Amino acid sequence: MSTTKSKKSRTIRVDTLARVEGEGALYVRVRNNAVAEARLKIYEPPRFFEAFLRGRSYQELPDITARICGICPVAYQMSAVHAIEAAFDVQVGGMLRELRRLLYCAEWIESHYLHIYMLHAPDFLGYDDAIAMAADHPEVVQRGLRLKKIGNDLMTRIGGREIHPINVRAGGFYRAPSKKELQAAVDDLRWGRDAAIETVRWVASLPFPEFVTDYEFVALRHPDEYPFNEGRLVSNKGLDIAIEEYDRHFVEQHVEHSNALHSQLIDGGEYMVGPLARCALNFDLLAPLCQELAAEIGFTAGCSNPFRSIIARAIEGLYAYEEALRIIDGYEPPETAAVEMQPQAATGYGCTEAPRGMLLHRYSFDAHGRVLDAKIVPPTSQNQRRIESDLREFITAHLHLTDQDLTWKCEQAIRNYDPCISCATHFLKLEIERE
Amino acid sequence: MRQASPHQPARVLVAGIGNRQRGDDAIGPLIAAVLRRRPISGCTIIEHSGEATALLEAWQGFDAVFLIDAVDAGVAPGTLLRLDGHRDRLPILAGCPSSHGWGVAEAVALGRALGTLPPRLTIFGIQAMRFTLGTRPSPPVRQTARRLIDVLRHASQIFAAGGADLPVPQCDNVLINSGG
Repeated sequence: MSTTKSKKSRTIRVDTLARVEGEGALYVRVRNNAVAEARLKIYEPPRFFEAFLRGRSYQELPDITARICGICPVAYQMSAVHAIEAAFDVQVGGMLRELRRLLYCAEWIESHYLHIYMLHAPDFLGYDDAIAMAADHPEVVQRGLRLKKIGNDLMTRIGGREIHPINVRAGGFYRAPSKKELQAAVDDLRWGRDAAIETVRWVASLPFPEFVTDYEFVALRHPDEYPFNEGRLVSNKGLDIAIEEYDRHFVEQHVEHSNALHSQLIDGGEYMVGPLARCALNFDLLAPLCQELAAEIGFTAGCSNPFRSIIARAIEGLYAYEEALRIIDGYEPPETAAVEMQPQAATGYGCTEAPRGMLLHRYSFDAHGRVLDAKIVPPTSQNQRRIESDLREFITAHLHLTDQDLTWKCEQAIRNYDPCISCATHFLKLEIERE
Repeated sequence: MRQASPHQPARVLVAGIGNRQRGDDAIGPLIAAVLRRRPISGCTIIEHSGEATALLEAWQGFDAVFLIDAVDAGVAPGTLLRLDGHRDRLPILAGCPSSHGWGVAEAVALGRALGTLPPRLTIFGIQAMRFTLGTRPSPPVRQTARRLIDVLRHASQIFAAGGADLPVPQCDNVLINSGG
């Protein structure tokens, strides 16, 4: 980080923003005590996944798209298989559907506790990283590591391995786990549920910067369950559409400073996806234990302080543990591991809730099930504009802070979103210029 | 943390760190694969991605751990470096902000902070020439690997048989040799 000042301007520059997934840069220019510009610069080369999926068989999509991200491969697999099944008019229900939710629980557990303990918590407690935090709070970090590991283990049981699982296919799985295999995870999951409760209380005790803004939250909403795989796309400002209507309500556009496309609503509005949005729109569908705990710590569905997203993430982590135990308790191996399907020329949409927010896939296939066209909209590209606005608003309200404090808080504000630049294309470097 | 007593069998782990698809980065997994062809009693041999949190978990319960990894220390390709996980400074990977980039150095740093390092932790690094995707390990790296395999087999046998308090056997051409 470097800083310079003149009478009307200050420049704050951080060469590398740590504790996000991927690499990129942020540039903020402050002039006459107002933010003139806030740009999230994503400069890593685009990865062209959508282009090289063309001509591939539908059967390859879950494994290829999983490689977009090592933290949320299941989200890519799930959005892909749902899009395929929508195109080929296939329904997957019963225990196969439950197994998909269980696999998603594993991913949320892995991803949420990695972010809470290793990436975000050091911001609140004034540490440069989790290694420094571990020296003073070893029991806290060990709790986080074990919480995450249980997610990894569950992922391995269902998916075959903990990163880039290999057991997902269109129509279901290559192999369904036995009841005994899943039951073996129960003791750890029970420990994890207790530790997840402690985590919610612990994150609620962290010091939060004062900052509230008017968000449009967007998430899936299902009538009966907290959303992982299915639902309608809704917002707190009136959006309520089937996922197949996505293209009529959202648009992606290229901006000069980013190799990841920016998403926005068709009317130009920006929006937030992720745990805070999901909690806002689905609070009543959280497990009773989650709702009780939220009431205990004073967290409500209407929370619009993005720094408190760490609480939403912790509540969702607890939900994932609760849901995993519920699913395993009622699990009976399905008669077949996958529903068979017949390819047809069609277009299908799949939209599921990745740990960082909703992830949309759209594929057009020929009659043999080969991809003619692909579109993948990851959560971070949807949040990019909103992150820039958060920074603009936060800096405007906190110009009295020293450059060092302001820079720290800006980095923290970015990490509120747990941005995955690897997904959006990669990512981060922070630079603030004051004139 | 269990301290291995002299002359009692020690639980030994040899972990070959790296990615088989990335040139010299494959050398750790390839060494592990060669060692596994002739099992060593009391010694567990694994291939590992090097992801920090998984590595912290992998070495739990072992008395002596050898990690083998390709490194970039700015020295001649094939140079062998030996480091003591408890004593030596391991450079945190500079300019690697992503948690995806947490590897051996971060695992050791976190293990030190948490007090969860194995009683003996020795890291063998081989200076790489290239990490190009889809290429084989380079000749100087392969040459060093052949020598290191003998050292590792000998050291693992000694440790597993009860010599976990003994120094790691010497090997030629070690740039950093802290006695780990």
